[in-house]
Amino acid sequence: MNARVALVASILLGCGLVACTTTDQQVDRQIDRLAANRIGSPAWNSAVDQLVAMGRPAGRQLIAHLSPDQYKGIYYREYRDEQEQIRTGAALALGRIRPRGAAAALDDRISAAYTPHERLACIWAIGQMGFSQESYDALKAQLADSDRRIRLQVAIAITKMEMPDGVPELEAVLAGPDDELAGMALEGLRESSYAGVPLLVRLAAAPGPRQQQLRAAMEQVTADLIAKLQADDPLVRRRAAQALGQIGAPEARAALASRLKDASTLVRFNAAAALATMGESEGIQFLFSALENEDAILRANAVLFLTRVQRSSAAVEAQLLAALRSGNPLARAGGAQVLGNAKVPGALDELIEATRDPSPEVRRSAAIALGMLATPAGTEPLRALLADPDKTVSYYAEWALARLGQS
Amino acid sequence: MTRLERSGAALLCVLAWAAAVRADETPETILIRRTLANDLSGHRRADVELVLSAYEESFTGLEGHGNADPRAWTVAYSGLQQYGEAVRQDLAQHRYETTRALNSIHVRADQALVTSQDSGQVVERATGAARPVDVRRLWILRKTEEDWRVAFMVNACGDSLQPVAAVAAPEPALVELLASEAAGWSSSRPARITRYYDNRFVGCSAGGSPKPESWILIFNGTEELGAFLSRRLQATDYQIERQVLSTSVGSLGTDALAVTRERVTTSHAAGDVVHSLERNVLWTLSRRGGAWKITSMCYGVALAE
Repeated sequence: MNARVALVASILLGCGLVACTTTDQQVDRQIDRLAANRIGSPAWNSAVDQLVAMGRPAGRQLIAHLSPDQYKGIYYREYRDEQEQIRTGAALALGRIRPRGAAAALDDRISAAYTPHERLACIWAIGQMGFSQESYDALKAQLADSDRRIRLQVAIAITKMEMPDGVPELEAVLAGPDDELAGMALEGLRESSYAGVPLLVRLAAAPGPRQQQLRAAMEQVTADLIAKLQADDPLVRRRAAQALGQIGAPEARAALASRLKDASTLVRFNAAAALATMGESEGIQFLFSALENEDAILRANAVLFLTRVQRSSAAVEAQLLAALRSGNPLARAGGAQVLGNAKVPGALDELIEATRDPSPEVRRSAAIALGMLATPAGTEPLRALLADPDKTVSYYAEWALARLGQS
Repeated sequence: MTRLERSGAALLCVLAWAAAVRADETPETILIRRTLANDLSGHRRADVELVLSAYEESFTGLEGHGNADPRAWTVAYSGLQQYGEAVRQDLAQHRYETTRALNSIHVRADQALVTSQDSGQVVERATGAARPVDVRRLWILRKTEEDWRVAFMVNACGDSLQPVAAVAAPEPALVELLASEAAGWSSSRPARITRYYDNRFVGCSAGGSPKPESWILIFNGTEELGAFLSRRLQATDYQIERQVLSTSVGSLGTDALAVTRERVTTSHAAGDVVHSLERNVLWTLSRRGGAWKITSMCYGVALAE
């Protein structure tokens, strides 16, 4: 029995070793192709594609080839150009494979000690990896580089990390005369997907020399985001739904509506909020229905997302005021919360009226909302609530008065 | 001293030692420092055996004459015996009042490249006359078992390129060997190249810099060179056009150095790029084992115009 187990184990180990060797050799072959062909040539691009196709098993060797220490001993290569061809290709492949542990190695290769090809590829790859504090810090240090292409690639990478530091450089390039740089910026915004949507929406709405290209980029991003609504990762589906709401793309309506039955609560709410922002009744109904749900978590989500919708588009103001007159105290309390969070001044009279609601939850929400509005007209009704029989209501009335400077 | 005081003193010693150790220090760099400290202490204490304990039996010493251009360098010592005699005479005549700073230590496997700067004075014992010392040295050390020992040392290697006086015609035997080595790169058989190297040879790259602090170790012995060549020559074709610029043979006739200028061209089986470069190479050679063998080489050394 033991002999049989040992035999099976040795066969499996042998297979494993053979598989490792094969992968290493395959990577080596493609590294040699990178070394033997000019950057950007069809053969060089094909080598990058082949490395990407190998996926994460190729990651360790690719990371090693970023370091100057690799080019010693058995891996010695005397030509700087050869190292540049390999390092650039390895960085682009790593950016597409996104293996763990690559970011730190890439961070170390973006300084002026490396060639522009190497730096641009490594910066691009860092952007593809997503946010890490170390990478973000390394990128920010290059924002003052004298090479405008480097600064722009850094700006794009930072935007992909959903940080704002790259916005001025992107805006300047898209408003400037250099078409090549502007093309690079647009490509970067397209690649940034949902991370670049807020900037893309803002730039496309403002006057400028490249509105047509920006709108075209937004159409491509929209198509990409619609596809992402089907992604396996609920985080991706959620972010895609949110970004589609920011774009307000009517062509996404059906795809968003289909996500109202998503297994993930947050995907459902983001899809509903996106639809509601576009004024679509399916989304609005979904959120108001959740506002009346017995489940406190769903109600909290409804308040959160209705607040976002109201703030971004004011598309649900009428329904919120109507909710204050609902027969369901949960709807009245939720409506008051959203009107307060979104600071809707037109809701003042209705909120004052709600301080006299028979439900303590509604009175409490109305008190908080009046505190959020911080309008002097709310002072008297709030003072009246100080004597409310429900201690929570009187506590929040005192809190709200303090916000009005009346405590 | 009470037990508590002794413990406190011991703790202070440990803390002082920890503070003195540099952040980038490793066990190997500590051992390397100890080896070069033995050389210095031996000189200061006139202890020849302590000095020689820092050196390999096959040690080769070069004299740089204060010039970073290796065409000005000469072979000063061939082996520990010749060096030992020179040290014995020197220490009998001179007293060393010098200190040593190690400017860089690069370790790769069991080889290390170190640069140092000695300062202070050397006093003539007979007359008391002192001359100031400010000398830069380049050291190559090898680790054998647990000990690091000096394999090569360039005294007064200089930190700038100075004009070099006209050199004599290169030694024909060295020219022939280096030409054969260059021709070996055109074959696909590593042995056609490795046969010219000593088993324990040291390979460096200077990257065009006259400052040895930035030089790096790239090859460690013929086994590694052979593995590199097996891999490299399968995927590439090399052409090396080599010109020997200078040679210098030591007084015993067993050790030499040479400087070559060469154009290296490489084409690749996997693509159409042809890489090419021009470089100067410093070689050290020895025939203590019979035929001349390359004991070290350094690609990309800088030469004065």
